Amino acid sequence: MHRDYRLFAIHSRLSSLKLVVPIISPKGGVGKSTVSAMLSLALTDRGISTGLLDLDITNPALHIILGINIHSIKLEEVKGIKPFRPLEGLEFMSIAFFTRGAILPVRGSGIVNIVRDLLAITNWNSTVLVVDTPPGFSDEVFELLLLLHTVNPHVAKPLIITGQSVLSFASTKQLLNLIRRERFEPLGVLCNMCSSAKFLQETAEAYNVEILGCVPFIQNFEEIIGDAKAILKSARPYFNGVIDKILSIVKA
Amino acid sequence: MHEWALAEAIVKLIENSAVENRTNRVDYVEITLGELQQVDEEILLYAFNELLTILKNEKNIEVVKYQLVKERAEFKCNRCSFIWSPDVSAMPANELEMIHFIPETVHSFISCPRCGSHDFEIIRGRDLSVRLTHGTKV
Repeated sequence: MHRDYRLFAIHSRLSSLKLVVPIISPKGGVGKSTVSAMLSLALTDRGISTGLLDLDITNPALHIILGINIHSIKLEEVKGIKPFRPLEGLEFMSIAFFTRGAILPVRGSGIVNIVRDLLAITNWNSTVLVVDTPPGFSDEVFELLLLLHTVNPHVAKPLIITGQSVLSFASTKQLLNLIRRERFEPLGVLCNMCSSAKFLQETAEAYNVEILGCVPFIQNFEEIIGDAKAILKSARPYFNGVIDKILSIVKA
Repeated sequence: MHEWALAEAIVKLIENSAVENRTNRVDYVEITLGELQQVDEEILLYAFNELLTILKNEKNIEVVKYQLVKERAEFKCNRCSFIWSPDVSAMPANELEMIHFIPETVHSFISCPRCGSHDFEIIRGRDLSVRLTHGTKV
């Protein structure tokens, strides 16, 4: 009988987390990575110990957004690998630490192995884990949800990111259907680069999902990439809805 | 993880499997160690032995015999079908360390020696896998 030993390590590592928030959207370009970075910084700012995992395996970007120089960092090995702490209260892990930022050209079965390895080696010490995922609903998202389901299906509450575009909005509705059929309860929907969330109101009611906020287009975002403090300052006013929802879960 | 954490995960798997099979005796454990894991065998075996003693003393689960089997890495190119074994020992230490933690990172560092493609499968030598044979049920 052959068994994957990593599943036992993953189970024990993920069991310590109170909530895992996969940031998902079928559409590319809606700002999943920027929202992941902003949410993590805002959670940390509100005193919630937060882990941030970049699960975009072939094209990780969070280290660039947060200004982390992956070339100068040696991750510490303590019962696995301790995630990097870019600032007090925030833990961060990415495949970029292992590829030194090089592109990782790999097919589906390889992606599944990498997701398992990353989750098996990373020794989180946080309350909430925010997971940035690539566009679509494929290997990375499926594997994450599968593994979380084996630990506790209620620990995972995906935050769905949508833009105002008809294309993004259409795929958000499809995703809400899919998530519910997968028996996961979404944390809610966050509108990114939107002037108002009114366009989403009817859908939110129809699908019984909360709109947790609306982040406007941040004009100078390109200039503040790499500056975590400036990103937090820009994000702070727009994430209270998401954070209050998260607090209501982790403090229940 | 690595060596200690690997040993912990393997012993947890053995414990879980023994409980599932309602036995306190595991006749044989075969650990296949892929070359890409780049595991320090001495540390792994030391940790494994220590944890097996704890498993016996605390849970009364005994492993009668175990064996470590090494597996050489072998890749197959998806573009030109070339099959080759990389010279892992000749790779730079910093790349080997990355491969040790996440074997798939090898795709970032090497490509097919015949056609240059990074689109290759790791057909052998990637994993650490565990095979168990159980004893009499209690």
